[in-house]
Amino acid sequence: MRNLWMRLAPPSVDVSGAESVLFGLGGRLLVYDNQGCVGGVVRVDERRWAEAPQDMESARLSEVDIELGRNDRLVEQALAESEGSGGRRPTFIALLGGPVSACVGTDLQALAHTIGRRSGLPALCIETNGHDWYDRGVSKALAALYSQWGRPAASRPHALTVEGRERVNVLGAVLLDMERTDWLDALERDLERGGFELNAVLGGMRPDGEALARMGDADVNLVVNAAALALARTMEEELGIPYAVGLPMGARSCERLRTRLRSAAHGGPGGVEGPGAAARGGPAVLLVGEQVAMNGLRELLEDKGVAGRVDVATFFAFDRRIARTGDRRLADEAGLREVLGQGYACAVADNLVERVLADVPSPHPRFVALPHAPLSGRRFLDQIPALVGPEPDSGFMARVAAAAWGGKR
Amino acid sequence: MRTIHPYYRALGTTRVARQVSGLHTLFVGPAACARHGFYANAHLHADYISYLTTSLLDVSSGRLASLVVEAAREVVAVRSPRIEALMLYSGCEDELVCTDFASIARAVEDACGVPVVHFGKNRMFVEGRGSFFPTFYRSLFELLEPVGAHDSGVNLIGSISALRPGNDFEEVLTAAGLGPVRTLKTARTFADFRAMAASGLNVVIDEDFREAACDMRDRLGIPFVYLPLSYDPREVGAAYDAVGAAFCADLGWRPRYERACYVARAAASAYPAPFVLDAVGVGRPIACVRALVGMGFAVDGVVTMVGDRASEHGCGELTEIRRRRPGFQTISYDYKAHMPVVEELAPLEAEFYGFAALEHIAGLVAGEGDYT
Repeated sequence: MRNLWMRLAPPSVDVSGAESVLFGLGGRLLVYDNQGCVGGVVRVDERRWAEAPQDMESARLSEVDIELGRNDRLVEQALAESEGSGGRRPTFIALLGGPVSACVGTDLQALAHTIGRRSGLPALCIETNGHDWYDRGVSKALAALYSQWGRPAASRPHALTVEGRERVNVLGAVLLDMERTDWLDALERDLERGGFELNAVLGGMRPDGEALARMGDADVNLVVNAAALALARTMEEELGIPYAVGLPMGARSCERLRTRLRSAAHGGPGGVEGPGAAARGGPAVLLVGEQVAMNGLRELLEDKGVAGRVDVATFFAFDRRIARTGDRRLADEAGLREVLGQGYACAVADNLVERVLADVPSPHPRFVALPHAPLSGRRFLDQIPALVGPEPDSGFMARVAAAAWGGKR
Repeated sequence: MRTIHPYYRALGTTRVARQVSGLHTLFVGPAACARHGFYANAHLHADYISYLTTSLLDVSSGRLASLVVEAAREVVAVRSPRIEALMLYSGCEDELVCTDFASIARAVEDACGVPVVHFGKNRMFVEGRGSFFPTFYRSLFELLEPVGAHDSGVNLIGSISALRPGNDFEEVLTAAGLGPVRTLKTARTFADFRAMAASGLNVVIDEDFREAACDMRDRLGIPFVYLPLSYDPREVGAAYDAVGAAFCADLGWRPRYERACYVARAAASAYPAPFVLDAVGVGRPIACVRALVGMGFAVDGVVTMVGDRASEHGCGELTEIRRRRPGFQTISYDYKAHMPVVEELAPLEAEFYGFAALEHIAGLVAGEGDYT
């Protein structure tokens, strides 16, 4: 049945995705919910909270306020805090929606506009609803940041490239997908080694308010998360900044990505086409996770000759233009069960997905765990292997190879 | 200075529902609400909970009832262990639009052939509305059905633990010809749980369960007495008298009283050093501290939780003990994460109901327990 989750808990939702993107930017986040969404962010999805609690809270509206549309109280709440009662004036106010505001059809845009006008602070409206998965929140938050700060003022001169190095924005570096933060470190090192200059990282992993203002100065965008593709296309359309897509895993993949990035930066074909290797003989492998990351892992498996056909499936943002035949978006657990039962030799997915195999007719694919926080929260973060960069975790690759070949290799 | 952490209440709804053998929870609502299962450690109870995530269209189009029935059918058919009862669990959104879950529960009951109850968790603020826990507990005990006659059994309501073997509460009742003591934890099967409807008395040890006890009194004819856990031996004696009065019996508790006082005073002598009592989650922390001081313990401070109704109770009268407040308003995931023995700690308090509670905490202070 659609939307019935019996072995998995439903994944992280859009409010968490948006919060993750806005983390550390000095803004004040106000969620139109009743403690629930903020609770989910704080207690489940945002692991940085314990060390760096953010200025984020639920709307202090009563049930009657909501029913009678007394949203002026929410405006007052936002304004009271924007005066800096906590000792620090926020750099912006972001208004996020939740299931309740979605249900009653609250006009969040109008509220944000009012808050912005009366506070004198930039006010972002991020129309989350607590129903969509986290990737939608990521997309919406990125779009809001771009809309507020990304479009360069007409008077601002386009900065010059330093020593001929192409400036790169990394779009979609979201902690929920890159809980192992050395993934991003490795990516940055590889870009710098390749002669690129890192211009800005958007997605919440390198919170930097000043980087927002220079995002329009980049020569090329590197999209590391399918949820950031929409922003990359907008920036290409409005600012003429081309983009390439990829999260490189393994030396050859790093090299290919650098080439595609450079080509895109100089007006050549970018990285919009999907990873293109044709299927070879060998065991079929299913990868379940964030699309761009799983595309990177697919390239790695193919480069190493670990697998034959490799398909990618995801519950989250899925773009046909970076997909191959056989890749798919999963609507729910039933969709996952279905795909797991399609004769793959090996499935690589979040640890909790192994539970779903109990409902899949034999023969099951052999299972290799690759923790993904939007599914299993913080439970298995210490088990995430180092995959990004020229030297991915050989132990993990060995496990995948052993599972794919079933010891016959 | 040592910190003594005697107990951690942590009665989450999922965990409590899990205590009823054969009960499966079907959460119905937005994904944002369902996601909360994680911080309630619902993954520990994954076999006993399913989620039907709904869209705005589901709620507004009037097809929710048929979706829930269909989901319940699949859950009952597929999931193991075998489901003998269902709890439909909904969130704010359905409370806001007043979804008729009573009717949906009846439809599910007809379709699935198992008893079904509903709990709507409404987190929207309303002046005067208290915690949702009492409503949840009432919903849970709505699974009990009236029986013809009551026995001399006693339901201990308000914990998810079983009494430790040799606990004086069970012994004193048995000696007086009463019992058995029935708890959620000791009900091994759904039939055992339903046998609680046959008990002659409910002893309510947590205020949040009073609403359930009132409902059981009105619906099942089981009277109740509210006797919160106490570390004060005089209060415990009075509680025994109240239980005895309900059955017109003399429970003869005096020897256990003498023993508990002796054990506590001996422990206080053996451990004269001052200590801080970490009472986050303790049902009546200040009463606990008072009892310990009364027994001669050198309690130097107590940690309570800001906003904890129970912790606030009685603080105004507290002058002799320094009170410390941790800087969080709710028990955070990380706080739990730093307590690897939380599962073991959770039920301690109610495991030692009666004079045993004082003996237990005295033992902790004297360093005899594993829970410091």
